[in-house]
Amino acid sequence: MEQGKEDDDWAERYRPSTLSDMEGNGDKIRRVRIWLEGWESGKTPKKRGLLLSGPPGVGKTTLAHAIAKEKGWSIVELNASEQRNAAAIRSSATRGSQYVSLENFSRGSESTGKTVILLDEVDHLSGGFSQVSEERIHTTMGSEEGPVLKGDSGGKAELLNLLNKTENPVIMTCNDPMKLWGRGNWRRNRDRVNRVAENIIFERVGATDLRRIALRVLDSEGVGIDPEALDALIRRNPGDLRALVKDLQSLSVTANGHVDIASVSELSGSVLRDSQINVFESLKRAYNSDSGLLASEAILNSDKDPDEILAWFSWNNQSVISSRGLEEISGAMCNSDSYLAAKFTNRAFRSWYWGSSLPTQAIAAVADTKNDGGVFISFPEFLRRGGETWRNIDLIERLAGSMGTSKSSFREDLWPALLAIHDKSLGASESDFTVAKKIGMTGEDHLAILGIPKTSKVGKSILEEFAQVGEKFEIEEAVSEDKMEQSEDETQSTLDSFG
Amino acid sequence: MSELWVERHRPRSVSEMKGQRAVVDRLSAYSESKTFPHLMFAGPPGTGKTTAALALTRDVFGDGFRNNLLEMNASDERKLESIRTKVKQFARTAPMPGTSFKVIFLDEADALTSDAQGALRRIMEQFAETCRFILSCNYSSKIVEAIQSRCAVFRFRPLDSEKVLEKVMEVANSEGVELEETAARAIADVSLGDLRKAITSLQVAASLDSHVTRDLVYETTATAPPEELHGFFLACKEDGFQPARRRMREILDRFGLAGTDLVNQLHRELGKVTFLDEPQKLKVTEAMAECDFRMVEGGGESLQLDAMAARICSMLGN
Repeated sequence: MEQGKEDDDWAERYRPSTLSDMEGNGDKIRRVRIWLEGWESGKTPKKRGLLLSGPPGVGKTTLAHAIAKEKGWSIVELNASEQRNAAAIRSSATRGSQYVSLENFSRGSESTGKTVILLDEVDHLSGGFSQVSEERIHTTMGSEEGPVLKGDSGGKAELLNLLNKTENPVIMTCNDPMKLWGRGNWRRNRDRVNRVAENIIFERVGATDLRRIALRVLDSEGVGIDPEALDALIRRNPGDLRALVKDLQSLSVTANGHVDIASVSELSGSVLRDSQINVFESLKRAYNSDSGLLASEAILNSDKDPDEILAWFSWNNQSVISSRGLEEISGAMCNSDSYLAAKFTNRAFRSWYWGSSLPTQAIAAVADTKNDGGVFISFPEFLRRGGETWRNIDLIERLAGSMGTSKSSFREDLWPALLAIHDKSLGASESDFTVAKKIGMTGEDHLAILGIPKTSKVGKSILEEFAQVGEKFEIEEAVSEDKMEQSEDETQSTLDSFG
Repeated sequence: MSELWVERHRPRSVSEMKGQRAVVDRLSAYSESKTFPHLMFAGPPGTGKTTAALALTRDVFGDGFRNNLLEMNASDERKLESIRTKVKQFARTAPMPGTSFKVIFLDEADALTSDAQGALRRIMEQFAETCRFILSCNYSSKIVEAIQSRCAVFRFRPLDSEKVLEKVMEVANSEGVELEETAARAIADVSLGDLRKAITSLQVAASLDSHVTRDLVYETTATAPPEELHGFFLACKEDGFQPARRRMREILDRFGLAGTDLVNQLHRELGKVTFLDEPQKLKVTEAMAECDFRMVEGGGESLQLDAMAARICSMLGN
């Protein structure tokens, strides 16, 4: 997607076109170069894929294009705006390469004349890793009308297949690898991809790099900026280069050749992106207000929907409000959660109103029971992916699948029993893996049930022990994993209910 | 009177918009330069998101702007497939002669599934030169960060009641309505910063009588005036269940309220009641929320409202 220098959009105009032009993430670029050297030797390297993951606007897609340009490779792009089922992925791979039928052609040609297959946003491939039949892929690829495969069917499986067989470099980008791994058996899926692809994780761009780029862009546009205005702009940027450049462009429109602090603060009043809104400030103000009216006004502009606001409140109440206060408002908090759920049973979105007005009134009612030491707001742990709760959900789901029961009956009947069996106060031993091995849990799962962090010293030694205990249960475990594969498709989207 | 006043008085140019000064300044700069990047408008209903989008495209393309504009709202299909087909089709065709780009206005973009948003982001970049997107949404947290990063984001805030007042007076003037000062204030209060609601309220009231009074406004908008609601709380505290119940029935009948409207309006007024402390207000809020919830679930209106009144009386009574 090369575009001319006269591009309207600054973000396109200043998109770097070669590897050496890229800013930030220096060590990541070095790893990319090492991966590239693997291809240059003429052989096909062990890891044929490059998975670039990281937040938006740090240059993942740009890097992919820069690699191609620098090496003089052509590029075949398949992104989420197109269907990406098994057949579509295979045909684009064929189009660009010698993957299936042109294998011989490739052998004869120069090894440098590669075609990069760029799969953008692979985390948006819907569905799981389950394969679709070869026959259906071929039928779909052959027919012009009425494809047999709809949507993204079999896309992820074909992706793995491609990574294992391709003669061409494959570059994938994604924001959230967790979504790519899927929900059911994510560790296994992650390992399957990591075996054949170099996973490079990009971080948000640091303030120094942001500053340098901002100055360079402004300089070539002939726009000046006050130092404090630049500071303010960078302070509220979450490390997203594209957003920074967009902001600069939007500032320059009214700036008249010079950006000052007034226009930046005006910008921050009306043009904040979500990642820049300070929920913490709003919540702090809510906790410090002495009436329900003021508290609800304080969160009015936080732009979080009621589900999320409730989650923020119930998490932070634990640390802000004393136990007496918590007791008094527990009824109200609990009710507001039930009322919010009414939107699922009968689409009554007006019950959202109570989802935020009950908790705000509640915190105002017990304002005098606040713990000493001020209000410190923290991010709700259970909204974080990869937290303990999420791991247990994953575990429950998998075990329920392997035992052939429903999730809810597993949670209600078997899960408590499982916890009791592993409860130390009831005489269990941490290093008794009989049950865990029998039902196909991993060492991490075992730790999760025990409630021991896997990074702790105890946790590590248990993990080691777990790994050493016989392989005799392997077969059973494998069976349970295959069962899970099939049910993955349906459970894909629910993860994002807070997103 | 057949035409909706909201449409007739919708600002046709960005410069005519009321309030949202920071937003309007920036948008006017876009209309002067006749070009703009991808935009995202976030904010509650009735704060001018649709108006701004239409006014901006009109400023840029002139009166024929609709030829260059694809409008999609939540009533249209939002699935992944329709993004891949309909939006992409429109995005990749050439703009009208004499213009350099076309515009897709996705109203209520927060209703897009996350996969659909995933498909959208790349289209936004690939066709950026010939097609600009304007997304509008109520809850910006429902729009994935990657899309927000591709847009210039504008936040619309509920209008000050002063701005609503100003616009309502202006419309009343041009429609030849005799609007009392107190009635205009009532409209501003009732609309809660939603200009569309304010103008519609004015039109409804004026259709009954071209002399619009405060009472007429409250009666036609199905809203109880603050003093009546206040009176109900006072009756609960001072007079006991029967008188309080009588007051409640009176409010319902006189202003034609549905049960759930009454609960909602009572709660908005509760914050301003001075003779109750915060723990009492929490108890009252709980009673209201439960009553509302039961009505949503299908409970009988009069039974639930009576139960609510009884609960409030026994909580507040002496």
